[in-house]
Amino acid sequence: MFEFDVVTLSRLQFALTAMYHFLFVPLTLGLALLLAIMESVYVMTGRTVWREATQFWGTLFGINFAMGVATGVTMEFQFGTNWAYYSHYVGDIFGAPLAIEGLMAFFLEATFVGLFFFGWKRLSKVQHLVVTWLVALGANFSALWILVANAWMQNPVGAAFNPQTMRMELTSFAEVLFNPVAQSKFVHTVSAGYVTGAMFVMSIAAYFILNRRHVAIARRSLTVAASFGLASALSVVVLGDESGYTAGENQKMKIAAIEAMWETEPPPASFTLFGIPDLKSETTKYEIKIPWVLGLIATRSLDKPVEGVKALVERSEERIRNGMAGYQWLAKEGGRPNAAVPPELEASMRDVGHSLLVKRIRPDIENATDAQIHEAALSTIPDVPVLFWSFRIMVALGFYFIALFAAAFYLSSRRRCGKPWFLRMTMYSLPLPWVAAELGWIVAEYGRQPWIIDATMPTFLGVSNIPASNVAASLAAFVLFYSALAIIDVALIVKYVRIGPRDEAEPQRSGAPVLPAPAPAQTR
Amino acid sequence: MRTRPLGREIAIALGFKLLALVALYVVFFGPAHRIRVTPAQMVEALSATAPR
Repeated sequence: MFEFDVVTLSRLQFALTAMYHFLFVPLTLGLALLLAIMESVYVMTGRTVWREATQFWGTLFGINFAMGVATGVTMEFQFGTNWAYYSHYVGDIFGAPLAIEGLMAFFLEATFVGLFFFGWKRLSKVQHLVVTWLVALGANFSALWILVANAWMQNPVGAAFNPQTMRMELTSFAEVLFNPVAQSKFVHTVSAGYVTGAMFVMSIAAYFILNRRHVAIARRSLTVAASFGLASALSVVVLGDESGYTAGENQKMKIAAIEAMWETEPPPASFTLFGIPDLKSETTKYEIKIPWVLGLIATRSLDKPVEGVKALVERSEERIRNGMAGYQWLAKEGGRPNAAVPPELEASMRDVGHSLLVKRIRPDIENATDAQIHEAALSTIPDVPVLFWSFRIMVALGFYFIALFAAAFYLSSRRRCGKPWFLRMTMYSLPLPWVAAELGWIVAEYGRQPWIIDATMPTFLGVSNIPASNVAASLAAFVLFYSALAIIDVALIVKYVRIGPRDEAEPQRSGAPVLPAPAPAQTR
Repeated sequence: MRTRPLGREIAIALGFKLLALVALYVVFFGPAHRIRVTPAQMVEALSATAPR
């Protein structure tokens, strides 16, 4: 069971803020691009219905942006208080992408979001369209920098440990930026954002069609969302496969845990479609396997094995033992102004992170017994059932999105909207992309445990020496703050969906208009 | 000039959010609460004889 110490509470607080912040991010990413597409159609065709659609979805984008902006800044608050050792250890590397993201978010994204809302009457059609595309680009670039920082925790490249300063220092910014994990994570995450945006538009459009309101805008929005959503949902699956491959290269234990694969899978490795992981017996019951698939995902081959949990634990034991000499040297010489790793210890230094896992079991790790080393090696196994099920639900939702968007796309191409049951199903699918996205984060971050930086620094060593009650108090404050914000956000979005677009074909309802009045109507 | 309802609502929500963020920062995360770690403390954390 969970022990509510400072480590668990700090992790819980970070997870809560990250997951809450990520409720806003995918919708911003997806909706920004959909706005740009709809406005492009408006500029190309001159039909005002497309401008009305852009303005309506832009209103909802604005609410989401305003409520979401700065909800992520609380994560940066926590680095300095709850994660002081981690911040010291990685500040040199982690700080740069976060700072670039901050500059980009505030100066590029926020500037163009302002111009998007206040520029309808002040800018020409083409100028405004450029602004809308820049909003979309700005949002995507912000995501890139955050994912570069996050990917470094999964695969720490372009950095070297300096024993004098006792921290990781940047050796190659290009390696950090072009980290393969960052690249695959970025494209997978933004595609998931596009799916979220498309589902949001399609669900609300379905609601309007079912209620026979704003049908002209709703039908067009549904068509755009269905085609954009189908392309995005297919991309999510393909790019998620690339994420699986990079994890297969760098985080073999994560793949083994996702697969609940206790024994090494001989080539060609099979993928477990279904099963019930049993931690006690270290087996997976009632397995249904698909031949070859795991080999293709994790190794891009049919002739390489995929290592199982037990083999990887054995390898961790070796690394713990190997890192002991480096650890002893570091404990004695680290922090001195002239400290330099002796050449004969360089290999051992690469495994010091593993040796540090023993610290959770006994403080004088150099005296650890075989049983204690084995126990520390076992701690490298993440929570298998949580990863196994989170991954499978996420993937199942991914395929459901493909089917739903494909059906909507087919119907749209036949100038049909579908039967009421289909529209209702579309409407009620609204929360599912968020479920999939949050599960994706659980797989990525919970699957990284017990490391805060993969194979380099255990999570428990990253936290500050502060009383658990301090973290508990700020955690309670965050829950209150974010709950209030969530209520305001949902209430505003529901209110302005009910009001609907400024549809010139329909009489205005009270409460509208919400945006500056459009220029004189043009041909529809 | 007529006030737009959404603009007003967003301004109120942003004001609330800004106040709450400032309050959270001051109460829990301000400079007084920040922990500074030196290389010596990092070594001490690694070689400490009691679990942290």
